[in-house]
Amino acid sequence: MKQTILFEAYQDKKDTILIYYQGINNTFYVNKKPYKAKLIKKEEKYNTYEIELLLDFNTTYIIEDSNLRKATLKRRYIVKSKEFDDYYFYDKNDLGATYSKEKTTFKVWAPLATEGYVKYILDNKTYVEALNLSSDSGVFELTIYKDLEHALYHYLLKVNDEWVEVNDPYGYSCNANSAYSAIINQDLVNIDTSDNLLEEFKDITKAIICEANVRDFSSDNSLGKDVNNTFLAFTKENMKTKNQHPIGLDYLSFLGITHLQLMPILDFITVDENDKKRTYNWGYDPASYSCLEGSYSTNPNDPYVRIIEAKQMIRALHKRNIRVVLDLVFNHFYYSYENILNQITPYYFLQVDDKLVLSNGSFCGNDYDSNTKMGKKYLVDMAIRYVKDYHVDGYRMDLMGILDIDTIQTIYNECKAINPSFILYGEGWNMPTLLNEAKRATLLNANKLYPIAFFNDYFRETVKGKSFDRALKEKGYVNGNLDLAYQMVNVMKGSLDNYFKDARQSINYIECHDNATLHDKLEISNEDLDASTKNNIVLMSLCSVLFSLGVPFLHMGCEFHRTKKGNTNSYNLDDHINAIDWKLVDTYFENCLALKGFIRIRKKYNVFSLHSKEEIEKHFHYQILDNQIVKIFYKDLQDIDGIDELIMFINPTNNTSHYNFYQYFKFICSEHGPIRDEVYSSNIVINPYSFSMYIKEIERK
Amino acid sequence: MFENKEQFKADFETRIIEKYGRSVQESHISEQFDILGTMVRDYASLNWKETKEKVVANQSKQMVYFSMEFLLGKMMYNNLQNLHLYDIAKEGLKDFNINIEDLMALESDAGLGNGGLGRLAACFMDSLTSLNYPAHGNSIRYQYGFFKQKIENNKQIEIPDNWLNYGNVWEIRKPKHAVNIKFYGHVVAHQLNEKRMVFTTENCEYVKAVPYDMPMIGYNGKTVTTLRLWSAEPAVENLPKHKDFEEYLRETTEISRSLYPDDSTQHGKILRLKQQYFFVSAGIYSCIKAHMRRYKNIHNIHEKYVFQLNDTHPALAIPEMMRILLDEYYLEWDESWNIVSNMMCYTNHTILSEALEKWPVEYIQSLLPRIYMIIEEINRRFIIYAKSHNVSDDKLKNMLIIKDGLVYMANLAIVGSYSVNGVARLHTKILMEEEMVDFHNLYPNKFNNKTNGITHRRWLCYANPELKAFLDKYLSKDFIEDPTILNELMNYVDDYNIQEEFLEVKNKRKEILADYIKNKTGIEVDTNSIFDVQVKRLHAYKRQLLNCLYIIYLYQQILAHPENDIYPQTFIFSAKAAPSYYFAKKVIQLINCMAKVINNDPRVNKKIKIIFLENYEVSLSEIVIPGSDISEQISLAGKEASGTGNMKFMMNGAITLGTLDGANVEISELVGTDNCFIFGLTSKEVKELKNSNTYNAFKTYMENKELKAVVDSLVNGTWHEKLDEFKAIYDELLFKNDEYLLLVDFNDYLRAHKDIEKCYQDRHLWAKKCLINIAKSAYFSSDRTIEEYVRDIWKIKKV
Repeated sequence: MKQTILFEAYQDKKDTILIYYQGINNTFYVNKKPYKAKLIKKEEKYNTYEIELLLDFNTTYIIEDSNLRKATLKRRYIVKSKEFDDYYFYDKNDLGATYSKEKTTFKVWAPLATEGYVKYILDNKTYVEALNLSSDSGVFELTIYKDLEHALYHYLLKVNDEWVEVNDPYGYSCNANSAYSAIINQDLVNIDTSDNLLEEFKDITKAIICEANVRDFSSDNSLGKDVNNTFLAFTKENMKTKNQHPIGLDYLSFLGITHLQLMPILDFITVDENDKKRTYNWGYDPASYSCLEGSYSTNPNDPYVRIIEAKQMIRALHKRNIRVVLDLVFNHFYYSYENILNQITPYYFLQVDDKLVLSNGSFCGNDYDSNTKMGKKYLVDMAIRYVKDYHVDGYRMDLMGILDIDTIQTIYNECKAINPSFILYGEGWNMPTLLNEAKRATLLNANKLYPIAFFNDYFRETVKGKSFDRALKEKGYVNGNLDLAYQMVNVMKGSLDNYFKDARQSINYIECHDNATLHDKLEISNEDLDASTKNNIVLMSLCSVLFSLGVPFLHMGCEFHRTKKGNTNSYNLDDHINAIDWKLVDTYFENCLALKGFIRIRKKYNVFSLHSKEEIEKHFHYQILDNQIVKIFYKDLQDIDGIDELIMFINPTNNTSHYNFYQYFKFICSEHGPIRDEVYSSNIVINPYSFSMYIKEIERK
Repeated sequence: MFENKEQFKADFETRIIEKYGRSVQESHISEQFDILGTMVRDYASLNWKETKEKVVANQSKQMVYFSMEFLLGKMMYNNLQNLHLYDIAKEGLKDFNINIEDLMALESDAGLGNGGLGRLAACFMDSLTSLNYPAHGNSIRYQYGFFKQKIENNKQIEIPDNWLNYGNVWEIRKPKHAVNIKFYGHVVAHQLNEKRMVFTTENCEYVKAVPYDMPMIGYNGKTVTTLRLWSAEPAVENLPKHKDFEEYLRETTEISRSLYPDDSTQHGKILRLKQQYFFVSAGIYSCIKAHMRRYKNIHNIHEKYVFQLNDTHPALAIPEMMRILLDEYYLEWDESWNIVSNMMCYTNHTILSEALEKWPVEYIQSLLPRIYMIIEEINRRFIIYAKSHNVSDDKLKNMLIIKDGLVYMANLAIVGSYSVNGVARLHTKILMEEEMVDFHNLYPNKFNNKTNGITHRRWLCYANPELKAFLDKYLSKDFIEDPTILNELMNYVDDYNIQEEFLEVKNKRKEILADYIKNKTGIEVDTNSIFDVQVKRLHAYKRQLLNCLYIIYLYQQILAHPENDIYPQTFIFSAKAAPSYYFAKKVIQLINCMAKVINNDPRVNKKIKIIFLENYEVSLSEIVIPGSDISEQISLAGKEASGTGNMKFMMNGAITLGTLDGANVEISELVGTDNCFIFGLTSKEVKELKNSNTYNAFKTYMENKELKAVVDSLVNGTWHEKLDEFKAIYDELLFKNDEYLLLVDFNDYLRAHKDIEKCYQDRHLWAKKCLINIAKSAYFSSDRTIEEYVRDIWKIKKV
């Protein structure tokens, strides 16, 4: 009779077999040779034995007990060793399914697999064909001599003696809810992009980035019911509000932003692609890094559609000279254990300690391990793919601090080589992962990561205070905490004295998808002020972003008082909370005009793109005036902008102040927008709750 | 309407009953006055309406006269006479046993003015309407006019002038034409659309300006124009959020409370600035509204309106008009400036630098932030213009509109107007060649002279009916419509009988004046004495003090040489001093003290009498001037822009004793130096003396024994038991070096007086001189002045 007792063998180290055995057994056979086992632990249900034996990677080890019960050695923590990493490193660029009309070649990296098959469905018939181990680096391969243009497929792999059925980690696309990977004929997803109107873009400090969510952009139906929730919403032109103001793509053009950052469009779990309105999710729940999200396409079941529509979206934006930045969630998977990569090579792609406890610095259950060769390669390959195939122009790395410096730098260098305008930035929060702090791509290591940029929380909090739940009452300088005046100067200066040695690395923002919107924040932190004053604060905050040194970052709709009705973490709340309400463009159109004006002025004056510490020190000056009004002034701008000086006043108080230039300065901007007429003043009034900008033109003799 | 006595009586009776519910017999005199006034006003209303309609029909260009003061005086007699209703009314009222004179005495002077500037505006209104020009006045309806003066203890006491006590029967309140005026606030730049932005003033305080219209009835009543007076009321629909209503109400009503609030405090200064902006903004708004209603086109408004700015008090009209064109009609700067600078004309009334208005930047910036921004821009463009016309930096410094934290209103007015006029030939010459020479060089075509004038209707025909009757006898026709007819009198000046008749007329008026004096002061004066009159504002430059020094001299002479026969002289003064003007009030006190001493000293009081008539106002002027023999116009040469009192005396047959200052120059040219008594340094000599820096008042005082004695009397107890009571005056002369050169002109002044004394005793020679003065006075009718303004500046057409 077969008795089921616990008998498992694992390899955690190069020279040890770890056996969990229900019972007592001092001698085990390893591939039929007997070895003495050392009892190292007794548990209630089983005992732990160790056998010292130098193991190699390409041998299958069968362990038998004295009764010839068998257990196959499962590679476990050993996958995290340097030796394993070096041994199985595969550096070629041919993983995945490569299609041609005559044949399709499948290659999958599965170092722990002993056998494998490709299961594919073509014309409703299912086929299974065997993969062959084609290299010492653990790559399995198969070429099928058929036209597999619309085939769906899985890999079946026997990993650690158990069969897993998975999608292809390098699959170009998949069907609805990534049930299956899909073969993609690249010719069918070619979009002519020669009609782009992208102007040269060299310096990140010339960027004006706006973050938008694909679903939120169109879920209020203003752009048409037909494009609700889709990539195609971005292609709709001539859409207007009741008062004939532009919305959608036209609105983005109207504003004059240079980059649109899209929240995750790579495949995520938490929306049912066949019933997308059933749940809402931002999508920070990666299913895979190699496919796009199907709920953003008009037909998630056709794997080609999402590729084509995403490309059409990017093309439409490029035609308006707007570059595209994707939000890459390369720091974790939604399913810690059941994600594709972990099923194929358990633990290899995740950060884990020697007790096999998963690192959870992401607070999502698992942390990606980019500090491995294939782990790094995978991210770099994916990053390159989107730049090459989709012509994206930059990445925003979600929780970049989970990843290592070297990987991030490689991503940057490789992508920049393909697209010279490429920009890279991310969240540099220092999360509690297992990765050595000195290697993390966090703000602390910003100097090592130049020129990659980081979201500047110091800027955000100095300007308007914290926006997460418990701290909503806290104020920043612009909404009333005058003690922060000096700090305000710092953040307007690119935070050079705090975080960075070069302003290029500072992403200056006051609102993003996380936490409360500015409007909602002000309802709490400044509830004593009336609506008109709070509106001034919104405008002044936008001025702080646009006119500080560094990279200005906007959140879609901040200017028209985007609200999430007080919610500070709307990741899974209904459409009516998250949707962009395009009607607000009518309500706040003056603000929209103002923001448009700020953007135009930022583009016009090169001084705002100064970034090196040396240059900035040469020109940047400040003064803190009575009532803690901040005066920032740039001098000697003849060669930079053909003017003498540029001066800004920020007055977050209720006091009216005066300032005498003793000569005529031209008034060019207030918190309500650019001054279009030629207005010169020498003795000015600084209004309460105002931002103002003046320039001194060069006198012609 | 009443064409005859019976209609008048019927109308009068009906109205008394309808309004007051009583019969005429039971009615009170104030009610009778009210009804009479209303009847006159209503009588004029038909023509008021027709004048307005004609203006619309002819698309006439209109002139609006902006003045902070309109010293109207009483209107009843003037209006009745202009409408030829006086006799009908007089007779009609007599039938009711009502004496029209009693009614007219009830009317308060509309004392909405201080002196010459305000009275000029009033004379202009009379001439404009009598000459049938579509021209209107714009000012403030002060609840209290210039203070009522009482002399107590020989000193001036100021009492509020409650002229509206019985209401103002001439005015019609027009709340539908109210305008909200904005004060304070912040200028915010709003985006209108992708191409345009606009400046608005937010969080401001509103004051409602409610107009009261008074008809200005011209001679014959054919044309009736409007004097629009603005009253400040709280804007209850727009109350300020952070101010207590009581406080807001107080601040608001204060604006139209009184003329010349005490500006020695910051509060007073700001109030004055508020007043200026208040009536300018309301007036301009009114005009624009009317223009848009009629023509619906803002671009041609300068073809339909011209604004005359009386002194710099309304100078804010320039930036205010710019503001409206820029911010409310969205015109570009250049077009706006073109419109504004072709609409504005500036009359300068003074070269005294302390009298040129300057406002601290903070005041304007805080009260009118948008206006300040515009003034800065005007200044900036002016600098560019000046530099491009090779004005040196040195000169430019003195021409700046904003300098050293002050806004120079005169400079603003010059830059923003197409015409800048002085008010007498000498004055304009000084402006063009000295005080404003740099501006004149930059804008050679702007400067011109418009010698002031007075309305001969009020100042001769109505004030002096005896003289009018006399003149009517000999002139070919009634000169009331055409004052140039007066020139014909020259044919009769040598006629002995006519001279005799004139002397009778003059004597009659002197008796009326003497009665008045007896009535008011209890003092009897000798109508045979020389009535030597100085009535005007009390100011150091007008040198009432010099007059006093002469009187003291006389006094001392009589005491020292009682045997000398000095011809009797009665010195008549009337003057108000600005409430915070210490020196001027001291001079008033001196005059009154001197009067007390001299009038009661039997040794001298048969030869000299001093009369100080309190509360100088238009009505008083109308009694005093016709009864005068000598017109004292003794300002230091170069200081008085024009003077207008001098013209009134001339027209009423008094002879000028004066310096060659202001319009005196033109008077002396017209009548010849034989027919006036000129003395003292000329304006040129004054300048040379001042520039040479050699004048030592103390030395002059020491070297002239008689003068010394005169000056010493100020501090040796002669006039007041306290020896230092008049030390301030003494110090002005000796230790402040006699800024107005009284001691220099003293001897020549004496000489002139001696000439007068001698000449006066030759009655017929004297009469001839007076007649010549009257004949030549035609030039000084404001009709002539107005025609010059029309021809050279306004280019408007008669209705």
